[in-house]
Amino acid sequence: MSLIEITNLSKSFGGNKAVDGVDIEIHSGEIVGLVGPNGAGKSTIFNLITGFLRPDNGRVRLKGENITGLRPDQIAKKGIGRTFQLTLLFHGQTTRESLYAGHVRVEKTGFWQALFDTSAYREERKQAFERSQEVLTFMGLAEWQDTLVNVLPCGIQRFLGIAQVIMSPVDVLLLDEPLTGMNEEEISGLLDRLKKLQSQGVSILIIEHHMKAVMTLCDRIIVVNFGKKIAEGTPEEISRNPAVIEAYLGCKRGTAGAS
Amino acid sequence: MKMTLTKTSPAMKVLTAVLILGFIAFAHTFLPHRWQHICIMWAIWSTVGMGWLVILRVGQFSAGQAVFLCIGGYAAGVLMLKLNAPFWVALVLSAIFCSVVALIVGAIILRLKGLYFLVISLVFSEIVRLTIAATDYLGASEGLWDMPIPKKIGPVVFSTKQGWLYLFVFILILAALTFWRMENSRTGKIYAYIGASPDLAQSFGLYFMKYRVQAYVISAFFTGLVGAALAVYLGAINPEGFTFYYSLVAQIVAILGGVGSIVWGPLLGSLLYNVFDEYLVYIPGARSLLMGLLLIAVIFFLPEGLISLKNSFLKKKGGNPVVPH
Repeated sequence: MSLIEITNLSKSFGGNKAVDGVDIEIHSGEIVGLVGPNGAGKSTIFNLITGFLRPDNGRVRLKGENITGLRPDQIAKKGIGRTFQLTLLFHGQTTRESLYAGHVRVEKTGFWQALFDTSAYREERKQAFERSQEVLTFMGLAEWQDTLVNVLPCGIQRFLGIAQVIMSPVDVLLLDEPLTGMNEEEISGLLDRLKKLQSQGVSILIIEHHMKAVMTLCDRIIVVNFGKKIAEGTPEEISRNPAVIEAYLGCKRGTAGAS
Repeated sequence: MKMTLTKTSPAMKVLTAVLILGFIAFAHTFLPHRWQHICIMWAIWSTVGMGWLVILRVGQFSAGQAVFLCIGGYAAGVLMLKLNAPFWVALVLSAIFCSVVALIVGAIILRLKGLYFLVISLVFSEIVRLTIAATDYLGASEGLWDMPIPKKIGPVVFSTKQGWLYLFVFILILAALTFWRMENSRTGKIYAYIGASPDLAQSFGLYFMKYRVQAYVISAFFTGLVGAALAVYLGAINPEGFTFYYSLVAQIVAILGGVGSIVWGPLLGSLLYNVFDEYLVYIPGARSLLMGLLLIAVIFFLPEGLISLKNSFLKKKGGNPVVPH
């Protein structure tokens, strides 16, 4: 059974059809690339899946369960993690303090237990601390743990975004242009880690413009343009697909509409 | 390595207890009448300032904190004068009533962002005040008066300022302990996440409305508690006592002291504000002008409030370095 099943997803802003009848399927442990020119509707698809926008039409299913129209926090609790295209940060917090945010959704104690500092609450905070140690090591953020997030280098801030999401278990990770602002060394470091996450059973849907990275990382690529899915297949198939070449490079004279 | 929780050392607990007991002993024997009044005002505005600051933590700038003083005060008035409830029952019920109002109203208005919330919180405050001023049952613009003096408990007598001083300081301690624990636990962190970026927080499963309403309700509880006690202390209340000016004072004490700390900021700011306010009466006509100058001076020279003096003092002594912003 597919992990995420999206059928006929549509969203219009005024008269502009940002997403128009898109079907996407993601299987367990798969890395899927979502590519397309700027303004093709990629980020809108992410916002529709994670509940930040409500679709006009269509359904999103997670492990067979309909999650269309739920709030973003409810969807996050079901196991869909996401990052944002613009780097969003908890200003004024250190790297480690920011990481704790990603752990709260698996913590069961509430306001009163925190207020009275009960043993159950302390135990959970200890778990959060231990998990943050693991994640800091895994993402290579240990040296930045006590630095305020707003003064971190740009690439490190992108690493932190992913680190926060994997603080608690996720089934699928939606990454919106994670390589923005990274140098080549950081890019290869992140790709290695995404592969490791995949081997731990995490599915990944990734929007990225860095085509070399997408080609090496993804098992499957989906291409969208003007809100519609125009192609889908393995990296080799996609790189040969005439519709994709047309969308990216424009059409050759005399071949318009040939595909 | 820093753990998740800042632990209080036993020495700090002992020091705090000694300070509180010392203050009470001092207040009981030496404190002049005038300073008793200043201390009461200090305790009141410290608590109200903390209430304002906890709402700021979740990213909302409230411009109508006086509404909770108003609701708390009138609730206590109705309970004691119309329903003959004893003072202590009225005090607690008023605070709870205030929280319930905050829960209902907050669930609607806290959805608004930034300036929109600022405006609607002010509007809410004025609507309540003007509605009361037009309600005969609540004494209309004349207000409620002849509040009975509470019975004494043990050695604490409420026919003198001293008894009231203890009560307001007790409420302040209760509020300060609660806010201190909140700020230094997960709750405070979650509020800070929501205040910094509601979208990012929500992508981690933290529903911003839940925590905004929570902060609003707690703020209303303590502000309402102070409002109820204040109404009985003054013996009379009327709608003129809850204008925008009093919402402004809540902000001023917090900003003067420093918004970086929920507890210490308002404590320091309220002290400076009330001492200044009390002694400026000697310079007729210049009170507002000088108060304005004080505010400008603090904002200009100490943008993070009086609390930053502590940091620069520690830095000179080679203590904790100031965290860069």
